[in-house]
Order: sequence, then C-alpha cells, then structure tokens
Amino acid sequence: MKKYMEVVNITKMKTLNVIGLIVLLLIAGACKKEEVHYYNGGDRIQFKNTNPNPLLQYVEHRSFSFAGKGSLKTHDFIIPVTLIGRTAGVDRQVAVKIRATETTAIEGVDFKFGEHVLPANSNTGEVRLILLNTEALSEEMKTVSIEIVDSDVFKRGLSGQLVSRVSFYNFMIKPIDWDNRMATYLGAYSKVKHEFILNQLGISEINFANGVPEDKEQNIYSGSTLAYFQLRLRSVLNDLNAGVLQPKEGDPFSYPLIDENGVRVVFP
Amino acid sequence: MKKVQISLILVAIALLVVSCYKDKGNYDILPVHEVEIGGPSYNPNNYSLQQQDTLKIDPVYSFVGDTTDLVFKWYLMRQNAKAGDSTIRLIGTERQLTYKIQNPIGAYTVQLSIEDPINSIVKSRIYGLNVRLKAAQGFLVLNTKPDQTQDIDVILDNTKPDVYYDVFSTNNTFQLKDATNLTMIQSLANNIYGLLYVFLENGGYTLRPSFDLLQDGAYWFYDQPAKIAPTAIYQDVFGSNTYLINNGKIHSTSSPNAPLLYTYQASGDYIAGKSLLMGAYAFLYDQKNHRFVRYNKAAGAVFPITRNKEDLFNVDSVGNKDCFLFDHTMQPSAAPSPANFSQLKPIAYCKDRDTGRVYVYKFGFFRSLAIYAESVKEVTVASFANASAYVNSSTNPLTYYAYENKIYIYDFNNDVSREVYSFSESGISIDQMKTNGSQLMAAVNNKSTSMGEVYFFKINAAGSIVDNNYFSKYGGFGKIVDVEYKYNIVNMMGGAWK
Repeated sequence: MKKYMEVVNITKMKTLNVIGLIVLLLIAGACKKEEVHYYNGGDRIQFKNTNPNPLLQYVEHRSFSFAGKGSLKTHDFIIPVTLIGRTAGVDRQVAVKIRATETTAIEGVDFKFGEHVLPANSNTGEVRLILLNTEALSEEMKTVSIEIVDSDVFKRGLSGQLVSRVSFYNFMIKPIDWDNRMATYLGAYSKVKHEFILNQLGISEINFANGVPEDKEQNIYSGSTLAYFQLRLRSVLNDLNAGVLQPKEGDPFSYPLIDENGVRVVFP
Repeated sequence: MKKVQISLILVAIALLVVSCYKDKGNYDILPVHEVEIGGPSYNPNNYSLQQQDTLKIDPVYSFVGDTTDLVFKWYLMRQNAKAGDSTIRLIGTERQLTYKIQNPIGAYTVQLSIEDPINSIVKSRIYGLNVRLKAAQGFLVLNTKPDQTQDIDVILDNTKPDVYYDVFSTNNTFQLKDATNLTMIQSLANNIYGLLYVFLENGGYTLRPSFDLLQDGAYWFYDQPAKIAPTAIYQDVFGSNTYLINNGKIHSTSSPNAPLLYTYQASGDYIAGKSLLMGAYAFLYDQKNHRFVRYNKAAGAVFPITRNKEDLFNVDSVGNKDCFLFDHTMQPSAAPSPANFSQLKPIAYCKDRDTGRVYVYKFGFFRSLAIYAESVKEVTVASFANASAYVNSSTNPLTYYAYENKIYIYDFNNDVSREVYSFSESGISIDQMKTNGSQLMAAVNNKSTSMGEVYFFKINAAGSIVDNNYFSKYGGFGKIVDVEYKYNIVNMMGGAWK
C-alpha cells in the first residue's frame, strides 16, 4: 500500500511539473515577436492563365486554323507568360524547350520561334511562335508543345502552367453540334459558310457549349452568343452581297456568296 | 521538491493574474479636464437626409475647463472608408456642424473630434448619415457652363422654385463634356426606375437613376462599332421593342433587360437620319438615298416601305432633302394598333437642300396596320423653314415652332400659323420645346451671355397658351443643350413629355 502511494505521488509530481512547464512556456511564448518574412524564392516564370473567367483554369492546349484566312502565309501565335518575383530593369529571356513526344511540327519547316522575353520593368511577357501555313496543313494538323525550363534568370513557376501546346491546321471540321444545335442560329452547314464564319469572326473554331460553360478561349460558345453571331453574320453578308459593304483587303470570298454546292449562303 | 514545484506554479498563476490588473499607481498627479461627448449612440440612420439638404448637428459634450480652447473637427467619410482614405473630408471646424450635402447617395459616417490642446487629449464620436436621392423625378437640364464644362441640373417640380444644380458632378468623379442629348429609358423589363442615357458627340454614358455612372457607351454594343455617335435610343414601356441609332445605323437587342446590349447594325443601303420609333414600328429617313425606309427587326435589315396604289408621294424618293422632324401628333408612347390606326398620322418635315423650301409628308395606316403615303404639302408659312425649335402637339394636328423670340403654332392640315407667345427679351434663341399635351416647355438661351432659362406654359384645348404667359421660369443654367423629363418609376399613365 505504501509503495502504491509512492507511485501515485510520483505521478502527481510529474503532472505538476508538466503543467508548470507549459505555463512557463506560454508566458515566455506570449512575449515573442513574430517575424515578418518576405518572398525570397527567386524570380519564377510560367504561362499566363488568360481565361477571363477566373473559375476556369489555365488552358494548356490551344489551336489556330488558317482556314478562312485567305492567303495568310504565317501567323504569330502569342503565348503570354507571367512573373512571380521582382521585375528587372532589363529584358530577360524566357527559356523554353520543345517537348518532343507531343510535337509533330518541325522547327524551321512548320514553325519558328519568335521572341520569348519578359520585357524590362514588366511582369508579363510572351513566347511567340511563328506558325507557317504549309501545304501539309490542309490535310494534317501539326502540334508544337513547349515547356518552360530553368535558366540563369528564371526558375520554373506554377507547376500547372509550364506547358503550352499549339495545334494548327488549314482545314475545317464540321462542329459536332452543328445539325442539332447550331443550325438554329447559323442555318444549314456548308464548307464555304463555315469558312465565312471563321473569317468574319476572326476565330479558329466555332463550337456549341453543349452541357458545358461557355469558354471563348476554347471557341466554345453559348446559344446567346451564337444568336449575336447570327445577327452580325446575316447583316454583314447581306451588305456584302448587296455591295453596300466592300470586302476587306484579303477577303478570300466573292459575293454574292455561293457555297460548294452552288447554293447561296444565307443565315436564318 | 513538491513544495518548490507548487510554489513555482502559484507564482506563474499570480503573474498571469497580475498582468490583467490595472496599475493605479501612487504618483503625485492631478486629474485632467477630460472632454466627454454624449448624445445618441451610433446608428447608420442617425441622420437620413436628401442631397442638397443641410445637415445640422449640435453635439452634446461636457468639459470642465475653458471651452474656448477646444478644437472641433467634423469629418465626413463613406461608411466603409478605411483610415487614411483619401475621400475623407473635413467638413467643419465649428462647434455646431452646418453642412450642405452635395455627395453621392449612400451610407456615410460623420466623425466629430474635440481636442483639448492644452492636455493634447482628443475625444471622438461618430454619427451615421444616410444620403438619399434628391432628384428622383424632374426636368433634367443638360447645360454647358461658362467654363465649358457641362452638368445636369434638375427642376424638381415645375410648380415649385427648387432646382437641384450640378447633379451629374455631385454624383460622379469626372466632368461631363460634349454631351448632346439625354434620354431616359424605363420599362417593365427589369428597369422600372430607369437608366439615363447620355449621348456625347463621340461616345456616351449610361447613368443609374441616382445619376452615377453605370457604363460607358462602348458597353452598349455586343460588337463595338468603329464609331460611337448615338442619335436616338428607344424602348417601349413593356420592353418588347428596343432601338438605337448610332452613326447612321439602327441596332436592336435580343434581350429586353437593362442595361440594354445592342446587336450588330441592321443591314441595308441607308444612313439613318430622323426616325420615328413606336413599338414594333421603326421608320427611318434615309439621308443617303432621300427616302423613307422601315427597319425589320426579325430580318435584321432595313427595307423600303411597301408601295401602295393609294400613295400620294413616292416614299422611295423625296428629292434632295433633309428631314428635321419625324413624329406624330399623339402621346410619345403611341404605336399603331387596331384602336388608333385611323388617328395615328406620322408626319415628317423635310427641307430641300437646294431651295430651302419645307414640305410636310404625312403618312397613314391601313386597318392591316400597313403604312401608306397620305399626302405631301409645302409649308408656305414664313419663318417656319428657319425656326430654331419644333415639337408636335400630342393632342392636336399642330406643330409648335420657335423663331427668334416668338413661339408659333403651325396647323399642317390647313397650312396656317399663329403666334402664341412673344418673349419680351430680344437676343435670345429658343433652342428646344417639349410638350405633354397640357403644358409646353421652352428652353431659351441668351445669345450674348450663353446662359439659359427654362419656361413652362399651360396650353388649352386649342393648343394656345393660357393667359398668354408662362406659369414658371427657371434660371441659373449655362447654355441649355437638352431637357429631358425623368420619372421616378416607369410611367404607365400617359401624359408623357416629348
């Protein structure tokens, strides 16, 4: 029994020690000044999320079509980059490498690199790809995939925004929703009408937001946007057909606009 | 050992407790004369006043000492303002605050600080202030001030003397410039309180009913046109039909909800000049081809008006003329219907560019509501062609026009006119007239001073001015550019101004 009481006393004593220590630590800790840290992770660079809808994430794969652009031989495809860190008083090169496994285009044949630089005193810059409109593009889609790599001036930024894939081509694919959804706004499909639409709207594709949110960056449009397109295309085509509006320089069409089946192009 | 540990814990607990105890000290000090501010406790609605009202606060405070030494400072800030906010303004340094409210509507905080400079003790108290809209309804007078800036002044009630000046600049942080027109758009389509559209020579603004900026004119269009030069905007009371004429082209919307978003311009070979917009009907005078045309919203195009064998003039070619008035002689909300097709007679006054002679083109509607060209006559009345302002009556087949300092009525059915009022002053220009059927408004600018006045007349059943005199007159404006009537809620009762 005596031994048992000694064990209990020793246990109580230890508990009191622990409580006392905690109280002293709390008193000491309450007086400690918290240090303020600043970002010191070096300057980092990544591709910019250009989606105007902040809920939508960075789009890694984008495309460009030469279809409907007339005799356009090259196109400067600009991929914006954005900085984490501090701006500098000089232009700084953004280092990129080609991801061979995802790239079907050949540098110097299908595309060239333009400038890829972050200008002085700016936190945004660009990587410029010069896409070349080769004959092969009329039958085959080419893709170039690039990735930001570490360099002397920049480390890699956000991991989800380090790769950009650009596909380019010179043919059109009939949108899958044309007949059952888009025809309400744009009428019956024809290749010439499709080319005219892309040319007038300055977009590379036109798709219907079927069960997904509108995403103009990805050329996916809601019904209300297609309704606006319909009014604009109808008005412009009417005026071009009537000679009220003169075709712009480089307009590849002749008016009145007749499609590949010999039918006059109209919008409902 | 155990005692030592318990002692340590007790000491630590004692330190913790003592740290919360106020040290009263035992020094040789004297009490200072503290300022105490009393009165009502803070409430967001301690004061709820309209713009232009005067805020008066007589603070309750106590101070044992010489009150003449006290320094009073009154600050006004937005309710959500943070310390250091550049919009915080010192609005008074007297003991009693007297401040004329010229701030945008919203919730504010008034802060009083009283400083005893001898002891450097400052006490503060805050009060809630809710600033309400003053000019919910009234005549909006767009005018150019002597310094060439523009503003909107509001005649609140044309039977009372109150004018609320500088409404635009009070409610915005930028100056108005190059404005040409004001148009209120109100409809049951999610816009019962209305939006005010301000046309500029190159651009425009949409203002909320509280006159603060909602959007720039660039946002009126889904596809922004190369040039924003608006000349007319319209929405019917149900919101079903909307039109905007910009840079000679007509646009419509695919949704009636405000703020209106206009679609691409209607196709066709035309330059829209004066227009008659009424419900589903939109007629335009085509300045390019000197013809009357009709806009078909469903087709998104402007078409010639269908010719009829009853036509007494060629709607497709009226000669080298400019039309300066295209309207009817009914309420501005009138639109062709089975109930009014025989009374509704659109008329257009057009002036020959070569001869200066004026012709009145009159239209009619068949029972089917198709339009036909009913008549064309030359206006032979002297001075009509060179008048400075025109407005059609909304109750009679008459047109009011102003020439020099006189107002006349022109009877277009009989090609006769009569003078109805003569201003005593010469050297003035009557630059705008409006009517609601029972009253006539005239905006008068002094040619030498470029200052403007607004006159209101009562008119009788024959269209003449009652008692041959105005019943109210308002001054203090710069050169008047436009006058528009603003309702506080969509007007379903008729009697509207045009």
